[in-house]
Amino acid sequence: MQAERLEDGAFLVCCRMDSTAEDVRVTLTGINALLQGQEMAPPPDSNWELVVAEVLNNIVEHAYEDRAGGDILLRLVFAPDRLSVESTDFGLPMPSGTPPSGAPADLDVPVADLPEGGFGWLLIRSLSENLDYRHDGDSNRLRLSIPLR
Amino acid sequence: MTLGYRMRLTTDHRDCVDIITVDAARIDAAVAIQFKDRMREILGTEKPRYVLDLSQVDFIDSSGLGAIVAAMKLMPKGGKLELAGLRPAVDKVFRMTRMDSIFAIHPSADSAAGA
Repeated sequence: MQAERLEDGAFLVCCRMDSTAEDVRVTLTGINALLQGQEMAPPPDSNWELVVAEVLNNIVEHAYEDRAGGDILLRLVFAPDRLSVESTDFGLPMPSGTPPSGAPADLDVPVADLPEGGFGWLLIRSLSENLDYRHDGDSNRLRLSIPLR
Repeated sequence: MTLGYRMRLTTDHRDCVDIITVDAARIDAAVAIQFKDRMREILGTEKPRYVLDLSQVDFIDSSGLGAIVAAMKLMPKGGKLELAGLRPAVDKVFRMTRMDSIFAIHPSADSAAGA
């Protein structure tokens, strides 16, 4: 994990992780530790970590189908008003070539039929802007930004 | 696969309710399966009402949320799994996914026990 302060004062964090839920957690807790005491640390209620977690979990679960050994690259730029996120992976492309719409699930159903998944894109889309997904050659690249204030 | 993270749940038997406390700061994809397995062991004791105390949890992702929904489905017919002590980030996930309409949610475990 690398971090540096850019000329405009923004805080850049770059990291690489393995395609496991454990490594995603290690990465997120590592980024939180780096942000401790940083001027550019997002406010506690910004939910940036939730969006980044959902992006990374989706890559582990879908692009790499829960198999370890896949590379995930993450680049975060923390600016005063927004966090820019870019993830790159080398797994399967998104099935339809575009990210899911994140439509809310129907909860007016018997308990046994309540959804246990499919909330990830709802959360990502609700909390982020400027979503852009590209599949290029062997890689998937997702970019989005998260308003912080 | 590594199993580096332990999901600790402790149970406190009160008069009419069992309080299950999550002794962890995160319920995320790394522990979601473990959480479900531990809940299955606890809920197997067939009490009519449980309250899941989340007051130590400051981060939950959609996998963690899914694991709590899965735990609710393990309750025997007529049984209740309620939630207590949601911190702001956790509360927000429940509200954004509208799962706050599915669970009874109490400010704290104590208020839930007295309810």
